[in-house]
Amino acid sequence: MTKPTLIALEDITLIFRRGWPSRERVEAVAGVSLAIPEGGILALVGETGSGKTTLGKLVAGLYRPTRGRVLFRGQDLWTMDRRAFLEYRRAVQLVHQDAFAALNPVRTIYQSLQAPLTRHRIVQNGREARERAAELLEQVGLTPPELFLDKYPHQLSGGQRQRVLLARALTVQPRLIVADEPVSMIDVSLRLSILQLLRELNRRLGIAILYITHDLATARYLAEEGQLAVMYLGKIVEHGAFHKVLENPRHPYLQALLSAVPVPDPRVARAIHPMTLQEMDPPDPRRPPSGCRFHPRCPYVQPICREIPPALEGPADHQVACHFAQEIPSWHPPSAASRSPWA
Amino acid sequence: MKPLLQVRDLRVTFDLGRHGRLTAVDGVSFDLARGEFVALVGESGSGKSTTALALIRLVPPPGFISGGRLLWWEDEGPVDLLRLSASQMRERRWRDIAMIFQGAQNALNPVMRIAEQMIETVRAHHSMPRGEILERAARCLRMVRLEPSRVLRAYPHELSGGMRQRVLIAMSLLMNPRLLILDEPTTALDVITQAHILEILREIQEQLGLTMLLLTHDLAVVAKTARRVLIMYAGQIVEEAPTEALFEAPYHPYTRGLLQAMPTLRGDLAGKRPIPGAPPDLRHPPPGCRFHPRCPYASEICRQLEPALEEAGGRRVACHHWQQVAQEVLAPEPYG
Repeated sequence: MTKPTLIALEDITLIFRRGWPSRERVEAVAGVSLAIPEGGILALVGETGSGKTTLGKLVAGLYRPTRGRVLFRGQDLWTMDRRAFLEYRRAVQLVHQDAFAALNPVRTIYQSLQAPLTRHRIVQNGREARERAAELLEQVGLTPPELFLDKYPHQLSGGQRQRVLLARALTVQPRLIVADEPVSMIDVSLRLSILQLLRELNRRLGIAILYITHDLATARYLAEEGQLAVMYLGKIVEHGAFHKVLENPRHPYLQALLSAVPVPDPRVARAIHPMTLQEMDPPDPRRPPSGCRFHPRCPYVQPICREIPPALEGPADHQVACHFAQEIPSWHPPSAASRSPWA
Repeated sequence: MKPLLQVRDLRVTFDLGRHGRLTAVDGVSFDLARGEFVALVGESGSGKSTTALALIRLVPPPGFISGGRLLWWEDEGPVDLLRLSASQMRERRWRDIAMIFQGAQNALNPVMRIAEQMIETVRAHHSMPRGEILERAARCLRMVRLEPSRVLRAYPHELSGGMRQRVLIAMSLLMNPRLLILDEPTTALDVITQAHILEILREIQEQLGLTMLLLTHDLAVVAKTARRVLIMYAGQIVEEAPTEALFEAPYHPYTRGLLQAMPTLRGDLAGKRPIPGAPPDLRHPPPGCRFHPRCPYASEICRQLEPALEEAGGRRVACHHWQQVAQEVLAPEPYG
């Protein structure tokens, strides 16, 4: 049974222009197509400059694509009428990395939650607003809510602030939460609790999640049963069912990334060496290379890679954008036996 | 192994005026032997950066070192760094102890070529001809796998974040220090760059026989690099162990909690869980063991009596129930 598509990106390109008259063009997103089903989870993994945050903002309707369409339940976001657009704005909520910056420091938690509740006429009066705000805090695990309602953001820990942001996103009963690195500024010991909360919101309330991160391990924790899309310099290089992609990564960039993820087991960690690339550092995203954008670093580069950008091809549950996806050797995690129960 | 630095009962206090006092580093003791690679692990606010700053006596006000000894071993015997004059200490920084601060790759002078910055670094300590310094600089840059002819002429903005971090590591090696302290050296970098830099650090450490102290919040980074680990929580060291032993069987519930809270790429995720609660406010640390409000093993004694950091079979642990914790490790399972 396939779930209906909630948001679809159709061949989206976004070009930023800087200077006058448009001296510098930066193609932050280049021909990306993706779909997020109702109630699904998609992990979008990429490193600095990959365009993942920009893509998240395109999904959230904060940028208008230069080319291509963003469809919300089949309707083009940028041509739909105002009423439909407002409905969309409620349905898709963005949660930022920096929860402290995202909350007004002179408003109490209650005030931060009450504003969208009254603005969208979800509650009729102050008493209802307070009740609803308390319910929302309970939903995100800030219990008892009376302890938090009248506090200011600075009185909360990083994890608690991130929960408040999620509660605020929930005020308008969204269908999709775009979570951009929601745990990267949170202490390691607490990260899992935020990911667990996101998973719970997905399971219990059927809210779809777009999880944007640089961290494959947390992506797996949240999205193992969902989808994975790997982005490199504005393009999706590999995409599919999370477990399928992880089982048999085909793109050399994803293979390199996997070989570089630190493993919490000294025996294994010392046995693994990161895949040798032509260049250790990514190129300047403002000047993406010709052809396949990974070619200057790719250990398997051929002449065609310098000229023709590979298309994302393959069955829907595992697509790869590499001219030699079928030829290059597969990558497997090293078989060094782990004696650590944590890896 | 010969000792290089012995830290004894180190205390760093912050005077917050009307907000009271806060002891960020509370009675920390550990040894660094010559040629050792040690990791100091802690979350934000654990006191690991403050500890490192205290080692080079650069704790920023309103903080100050309020107690302890820093015994620096030379051939003739130990010198207490805390008893040196400010100018004596300044001479030792970078020459004996170099430190790479968190985010320092963004603190290179933007209007100076790398070559000039490296020359300036050396000349702050020695008068040495330009050519000789540049030769030395080139040697250090090659150690971090950078091409000197290209990098020396470059301005910082022409280099990527990973390259700037490697330039900084090369700069720290210029004076041939005996101890190199690195505070979260890979935190802001891409995963692939991070992996390569960790390999480079290990290589340099082995080649030069340098003592390295790596500060990180990420135990996976430790697994790749350090031979010995110190775990810090709320201003105190709670566990110390050789790296492999620590990962096989953590003795402190906090260490165990950290390992259990780390999602991984392979293996079972079912046993993963966060540590409940949050680190304490150090202005009002909890009585007894500072971890007890978050600890699944906590009992009455933990609420009342602060556990000492005691010897436990070649390791050290500060927990009343460490024997129980050590025994309860899950059965090992193969990787993948």
